[in-house]
Amino acid sequence: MSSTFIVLGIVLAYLAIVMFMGIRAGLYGKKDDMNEFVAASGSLNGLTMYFLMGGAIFSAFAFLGGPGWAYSKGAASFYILAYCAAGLIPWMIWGVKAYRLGRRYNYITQAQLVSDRYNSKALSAIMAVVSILAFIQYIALQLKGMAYVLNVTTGGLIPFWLGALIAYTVVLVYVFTSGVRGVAWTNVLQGLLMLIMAWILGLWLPIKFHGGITQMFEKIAASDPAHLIIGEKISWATYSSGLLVSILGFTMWPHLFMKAFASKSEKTLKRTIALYPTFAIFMVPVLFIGFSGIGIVEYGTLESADQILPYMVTQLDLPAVLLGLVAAATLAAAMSSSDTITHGAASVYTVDFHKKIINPNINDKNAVKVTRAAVVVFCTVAYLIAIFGGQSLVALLLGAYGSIVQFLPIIAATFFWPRSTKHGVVAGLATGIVLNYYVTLSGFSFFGLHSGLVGLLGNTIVLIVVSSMTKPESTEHVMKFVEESQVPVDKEA
Amino acid sequence: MKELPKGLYIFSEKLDDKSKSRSIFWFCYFTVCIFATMWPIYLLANRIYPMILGMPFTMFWVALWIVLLFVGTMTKFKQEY
Repeated sequence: MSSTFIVLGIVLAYLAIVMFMGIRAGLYGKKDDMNEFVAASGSLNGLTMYFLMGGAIFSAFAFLGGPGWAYSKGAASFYILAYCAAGLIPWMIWGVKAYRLGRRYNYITQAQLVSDRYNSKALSAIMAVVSILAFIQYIALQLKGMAYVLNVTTGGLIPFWLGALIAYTVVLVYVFTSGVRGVAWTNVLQGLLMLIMAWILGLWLPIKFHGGITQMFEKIAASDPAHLIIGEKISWATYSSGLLVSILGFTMWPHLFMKAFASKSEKTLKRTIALYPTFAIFMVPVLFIGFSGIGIVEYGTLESADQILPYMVTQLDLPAVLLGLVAAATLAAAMSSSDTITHGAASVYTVDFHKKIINPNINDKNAVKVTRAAVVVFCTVAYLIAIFGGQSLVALLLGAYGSIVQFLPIIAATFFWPRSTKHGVVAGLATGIVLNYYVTLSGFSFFGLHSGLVGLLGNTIVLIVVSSMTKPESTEHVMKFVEESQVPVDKEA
Repeated sequence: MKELPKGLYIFSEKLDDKSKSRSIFWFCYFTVCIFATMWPIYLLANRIYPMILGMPFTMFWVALWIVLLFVGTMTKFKQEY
């Protein structure tokens, strides 16, 4: 019983610190201004940007799904490393161009940029709806992860529903009060905590159970060699197309565009991209955690492979302090993604949906109010889904990805294909989303190719064909986007 | 009204040759890095031995490309600033 209280004490201390930092960060900004709430008036520096981006990828997935994959699927989990490392590479093109146009025309969201180029409110609305659905799925996923960890590490003292409620209340409070500044500062703290814990656990568990990392892999190679190579437990087509879709899709997430618009300068943005592959290095020990469970935890013991880390730390007589830190680090990982996502979802709703469709004349003060209301609504929906709906962590994340990656042809066309038209991109997007859902739901696929990739092919073809058949837009308007996105906007540097 | 350019518009006319060729080089470099961990290039490394730094070769291969990606992104950044 006493160990439960140590765990609880550490977790509560962590939550209190995060909440304090989050609220305090908001006190520096100007109040009730939409640009401040969404983009911190474009003033975030290198350190905070780095952890903002890192926090987005280190989600509950890092401590639950990641080790779970390594434990149950083996080599398929290397996909996580490759994807983390390369995820932000396409951002050298999209992010930098978006930043330049954002500075010139004061965009704060992705759909603003696109709907300006194609003069289409419908496009903005469709993108808003798709992103919000994907966001809610994602938030629900994080909530489930947090609730699960709180439940297990306290030995069942905190029930599932209460755990989700506690963790989310904290996120809600600081996103609600401080906007993007609250998110950025807490992410620095959370980032450090989860990186340190990942390394401690990833190096210590293999040594404790197997005597070392090499010994651990030697044991696996002897007992189940298929676990360490591709093509046995997962097909090449599934592995490669899943990886490709993830890399292409990562930079299409609307909250990343918001972060580009929130950057202080082009240099800050580029530095973030340059440093980003380091996060993939930090993911290496996370996989060691999962591999260390092989042979220690019998297959079939766990309800779901995602439970491997919490199971190991609770069942294998580890010190209570470590247990508490594992719980806090998992919460940190989950919260640093869900705060960014919640903030993103609410901002997208206000800017791309409410302002375009419901009330175009809303003033800035009311817009911030609407955003805050949206934060509460989306959290509540995600909470209910987390409590009542049930799907595996990883499948959910990949499913949401499929639809977001369908924005790629539109973004590419905005910057590189002057001839693309409103009708072309809307028809392409619709095709991509329908195909993605069809493949996901029916389970039918060509050679096991990822549903997002199938959607992407259809999407691109329709975009090209329909654009070629419809009337082009005015040269002057179109060239503004292709031309000016190539010219740096910052005065210095 | 001016003619709308046909096809893809990759580089602005205002860009000089040096920055164009740099862009093309980095595009190729990163494309290779990304596809190195997919079919078919990854087939080359799809084996357990030799184990390096404690990792099976499949895992080491992915880790190696992370490092190469990082070297690339840092070099590109230093080149610009």
